[in-house]
Amino acid sequence: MSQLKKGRMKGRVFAAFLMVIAALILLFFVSVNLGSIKLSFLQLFRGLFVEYDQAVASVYDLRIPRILISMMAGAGLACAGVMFQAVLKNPLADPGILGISSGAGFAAVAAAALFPQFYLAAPVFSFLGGLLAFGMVYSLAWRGTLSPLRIILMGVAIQSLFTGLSSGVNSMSGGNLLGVASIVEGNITMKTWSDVKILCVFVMLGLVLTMFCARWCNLMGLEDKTIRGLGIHVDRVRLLVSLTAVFLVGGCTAIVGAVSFLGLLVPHIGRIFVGSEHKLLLPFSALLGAFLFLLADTLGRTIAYPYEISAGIILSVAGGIVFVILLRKSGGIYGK
Amino acid sequence: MENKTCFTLKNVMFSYGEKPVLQNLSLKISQGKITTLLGSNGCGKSTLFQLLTKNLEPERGEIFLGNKPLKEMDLKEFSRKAAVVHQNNTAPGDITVEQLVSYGRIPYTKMGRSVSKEKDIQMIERAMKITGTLALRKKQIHALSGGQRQRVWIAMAIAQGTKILLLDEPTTYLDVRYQLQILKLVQMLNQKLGITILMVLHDINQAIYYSDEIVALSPEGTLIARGDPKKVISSETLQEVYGIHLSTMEYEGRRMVMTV
Repeated sequence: MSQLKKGRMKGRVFAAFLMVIAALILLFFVSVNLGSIKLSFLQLFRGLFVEYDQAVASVYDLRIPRILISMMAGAGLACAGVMFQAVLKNPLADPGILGISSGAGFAAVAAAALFPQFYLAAPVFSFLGGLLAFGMVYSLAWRGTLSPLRIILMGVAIQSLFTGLSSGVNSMSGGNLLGVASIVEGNITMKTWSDVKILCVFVMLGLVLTMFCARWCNLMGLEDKTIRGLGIHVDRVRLLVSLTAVFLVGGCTAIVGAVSFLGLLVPHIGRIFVGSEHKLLLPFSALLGAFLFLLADTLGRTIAYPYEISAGIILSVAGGIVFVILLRKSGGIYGK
Repeated sequence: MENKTCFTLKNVMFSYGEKPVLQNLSLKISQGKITTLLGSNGCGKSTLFQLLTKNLEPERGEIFLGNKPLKEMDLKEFSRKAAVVHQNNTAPGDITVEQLVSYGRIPYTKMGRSVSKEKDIQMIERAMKITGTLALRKKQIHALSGGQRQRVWIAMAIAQGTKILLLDEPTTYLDVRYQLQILKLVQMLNQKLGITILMVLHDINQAIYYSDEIVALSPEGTLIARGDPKKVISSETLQEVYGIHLSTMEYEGRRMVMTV
């Protein structure tokens, strides 16, 4: 009986993974094909691997980079969300709500405005900005323990501060400094293969580190003192996992701007499908995050064609609604 | 005959900010016995418990485990010597009993890898058998009753394979049937396996019945009495501990306290 139940659980998890992978692949091809140039699968394949095709070449230069960037940023932000929720024991934690994305965004904006020549190092700046924001939220909210409510309130304050500063820099530069405006507005229209490469380095490294964090995230489901009783330095673990998450947020934000709610949304959906085992939840969230970000970006460039709505705005609207639902449902405490 | 000591406290002081909680507390906890901490709310029982489990550090004074200062013992070493069941434990609702009990083997991992897989399996199995949770092994935590859940937490502690077990109010929120079940389990751990038990209880009569020694703390966080329950528990001591008058009586050779 219980064996059967366990088998069913495993089957369910397997099906969930299969579904999200299939959906992601499907969406990838749909997204490649949406817009003024239409390509058949065969034409795309031939153009990419067999012989030069002008239509395929422009798709390759214009659409594929933003698709890959959407997917990687979605995966990175979703995993960061899972990790923040685990270590802060707070179901409402999200890189955006905690102000970390805004901190990272501001640093990237400031760097783009002040040192445009260090374009390649943008993710490093935004990682540092994210660290600064995280340090501020953490130390200001700390009162012997981390109250879930206080950390969210602090996050809102820090987020507002850095978002304001970013907009300020954008206005001061007349709103037409390309690097600045694209980060502030979360615009990924003009992204190139060099952006893909930068983001790839950060996200891949971040995701590898993330997988090492899975075991720790599992333990975080217990009370701190219980974890300590098992011989684990829980504060060190919390710091290491948080740093990994901030690293991911930094890399993603430098390329796609400050994106809220994705890191909130994905872990919750993920838990419904695969449960709270982080060795499953983290990879599942990476896939789901990639899917949702790409979906948001694809919708954003088709809803009001030829005008574009950035993925960040779409996610913000959808995420805002889900945030309200979560707030109404949960008493603010992790787990059930 | 003086017994071997497990914990020794020497002039321990602790305060939260301006408010002193424990003042100059010196105390010995005997090895191989069941010792219960009694005290009023806010007298520093829980603080003492946190000090003994390395969740807090004394401001002044020293605590020894055996002959070694607790301060010099790292968390891993401590977790192989003493296991702790805290109050208000939480776990993700969807993990199984067996998974949770297996966390008790974390002190025996190096860089996240188990030192001996066979030993782990054997200890987890044994812990579930002792606590009567073997039949629940595949169940998810959210599906358990309060009493079952508490036994699973104790199983996790037993899987640590330590000679010392600390329990912070293990019977709180349980009805009297489960309270007795837990206390009998604790007694069995002490008598059959020789595990030293140190616990915090609120029920005075249960403390008298199940403990070899009682440690009574005053509301100011000083030691009132320590020793055999029959000697320690009297109307006078209870007046000092709780600040109210409670009558005691003898029933079948045991002292009972009227808590009404």
